Amino acid sequence: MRMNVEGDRLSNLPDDLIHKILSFNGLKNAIKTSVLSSRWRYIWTSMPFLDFSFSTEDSLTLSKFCHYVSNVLSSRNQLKVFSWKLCFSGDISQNFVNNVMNYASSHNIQHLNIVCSLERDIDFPISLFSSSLKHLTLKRHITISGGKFISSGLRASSNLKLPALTTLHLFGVTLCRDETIDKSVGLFPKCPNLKNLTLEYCLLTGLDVLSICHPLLLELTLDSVCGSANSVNVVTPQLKNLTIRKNFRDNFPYVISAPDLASLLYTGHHPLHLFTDSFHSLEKVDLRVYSRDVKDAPRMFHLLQQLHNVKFLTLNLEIVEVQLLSSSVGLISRQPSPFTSLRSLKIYPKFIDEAEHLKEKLNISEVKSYLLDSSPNATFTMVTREEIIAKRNTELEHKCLENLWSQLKWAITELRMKITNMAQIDRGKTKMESDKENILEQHIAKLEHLTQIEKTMTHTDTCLKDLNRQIKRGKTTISNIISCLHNIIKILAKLPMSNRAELQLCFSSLCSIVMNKIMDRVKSLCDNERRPF
Amino acid sequence: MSTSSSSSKKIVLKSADNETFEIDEIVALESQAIKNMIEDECADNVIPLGNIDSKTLSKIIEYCKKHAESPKKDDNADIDEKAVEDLKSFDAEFAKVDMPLIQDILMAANFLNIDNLIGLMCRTIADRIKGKTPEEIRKILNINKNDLLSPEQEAKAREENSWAFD
Repeated sequence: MRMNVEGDRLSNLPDDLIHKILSFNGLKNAIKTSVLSSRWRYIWTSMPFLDFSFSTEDSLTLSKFCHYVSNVLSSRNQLKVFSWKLCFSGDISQNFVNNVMNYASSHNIQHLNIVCSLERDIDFPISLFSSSLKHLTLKRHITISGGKFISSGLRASSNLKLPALTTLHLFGVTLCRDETIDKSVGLFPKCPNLKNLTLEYCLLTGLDVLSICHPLLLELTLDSVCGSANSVNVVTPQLKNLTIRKNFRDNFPYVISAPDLASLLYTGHHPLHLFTDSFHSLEKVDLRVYSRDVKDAPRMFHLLQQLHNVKFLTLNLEIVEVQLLSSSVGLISRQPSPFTSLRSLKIYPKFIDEAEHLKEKLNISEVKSYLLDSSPNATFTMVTREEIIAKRNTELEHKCLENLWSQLKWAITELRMKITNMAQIDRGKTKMESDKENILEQHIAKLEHLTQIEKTMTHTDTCLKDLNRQIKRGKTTISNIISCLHNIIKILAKLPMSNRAELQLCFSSLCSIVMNKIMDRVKSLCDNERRPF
Repeated sequence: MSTSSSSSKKIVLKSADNETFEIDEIVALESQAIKNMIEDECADNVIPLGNIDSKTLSKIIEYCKKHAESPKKDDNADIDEKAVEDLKSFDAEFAKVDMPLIQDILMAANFLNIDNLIGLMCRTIADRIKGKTPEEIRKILNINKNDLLSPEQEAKAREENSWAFD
């Protein structure tokens, strides 16, 4: 689709695609794109998904965050918001929550997703949303201590009035009974369009019965719901998928009327204490029961009896070991085979590492005939602990091998580096050795030079001694000559005048020669003494 | 390019540069737009796609083939996980192309209405501009120079949205 081949393709995209791109990187980054170009200048303001996330890791302070949220809201006051996500933690005020909720309710928001961890009790005025809200998620981070979870802080009324709501997901919310409402009235009676309801780690207060009666409900998840209720009553003519998970060892009855139920997933300590008027269209059941108490066996048989229409059944091995087999001997042989339309049965272990103390080989044939006798065409799959352990070991081996392989690779590279280093070092060594030799040669040369110098010096010394001797000798000679000259002068004075003139001439020339010689000698002597040696 | 299985019905797509691609109908059905055409019986033997070039179209067919073949959510949870992992790594590999091609694929996927592929391309673009400065983003997206804001306009935009630029 080369519309303008090397040009800016993205700016030609429809707004909703750009919104989609922007929605991945959070609202703040979306706002930053306003400086990119004129095409991008205002595009974020029409984003139908607003995702405000605040965390303590952010450089934002809480007050700045609140300021930022209000700023965003005011700069897009006239615009429709489709989806809204708000994440925060810290000391948020009730006032802030009210403002945010007011904005949300006045902008016909359809999706609202609030995730928070609160430091104080906050009421969420959800009832502000009258007509538009379709999806609501309210999630509070909870702390679980000693098997009990602490869920104060986020409260919502059991009497929410949200007529358009189709999906409700509450996590860690305290549900309070509206005092004005009769105790017999169920949860959220004013949400008639609810199709999808999930309650996780919710605490019920003031409600004896957790009663869920919604004509359009398709999906229901009850995960670790606790509190005041001591029974559960579900009336949902269209319910397709039901998930129940119990983290707590409560054992209260579940009375369920859901004729269209297709899938049931149950996880809990005890077998589900189920009462039902029959699930006609049951397709898939997955039961995970962890109790080691053989007293639970009758209830297990009762539960399987209730699920007799199931086509695809999955059980954990512990159910077979504890509830169906090892418990009351003979109980299983007295039970009629419940399943008439079974197509597949799968059994797999939950607790793998307990294989040790369950060493005894199971005689599965009795269980098999109990479960499968009425459905002879069903496929049977059983995964033993050994198989899982073997699989796990293989995976482990793979991981080890991979590890080894990477270590090896690492070692090889390391080795290569070492080798290069070694080569370098070797090269260095050779150089050093040659240097050493050079130095040695140089040293030897120097030594030779030194010996030479010494020799020269001795020689010079001898020369000097000679010279000194000569000088001394010379001095004696000079003084001898001078005394000779004095003698000559004395003799000259005693000579007669006629002889004197002739001799005087000879004497004068002799004197000048002697004087010149002496001067030469003295000069060379002085020169010698001025020399460095 | 043609696919192997002979029994199923074939659809022929023609790109802007007149290259034809014969594919299984099941692969073509990944596109909601083609699906609608087939259902409304307004698809002839050959579907011309005048605004998609062959390079882009062959990438899109590669994607649709993989996604049509991969097992849909079914009863076996083990296989599901593997298939999901497999598809994830395929998607990751698929998106390792240059930005112009990504933008072409996105526009074509938008035209053909292939939801997953739109999502994948949008996420890929988002990942590439994440944490980048405006100048870097302009370069990555090849934003038209004539379209830039004047310095005064840019300063105004920053001022208005200063809380986001902290």
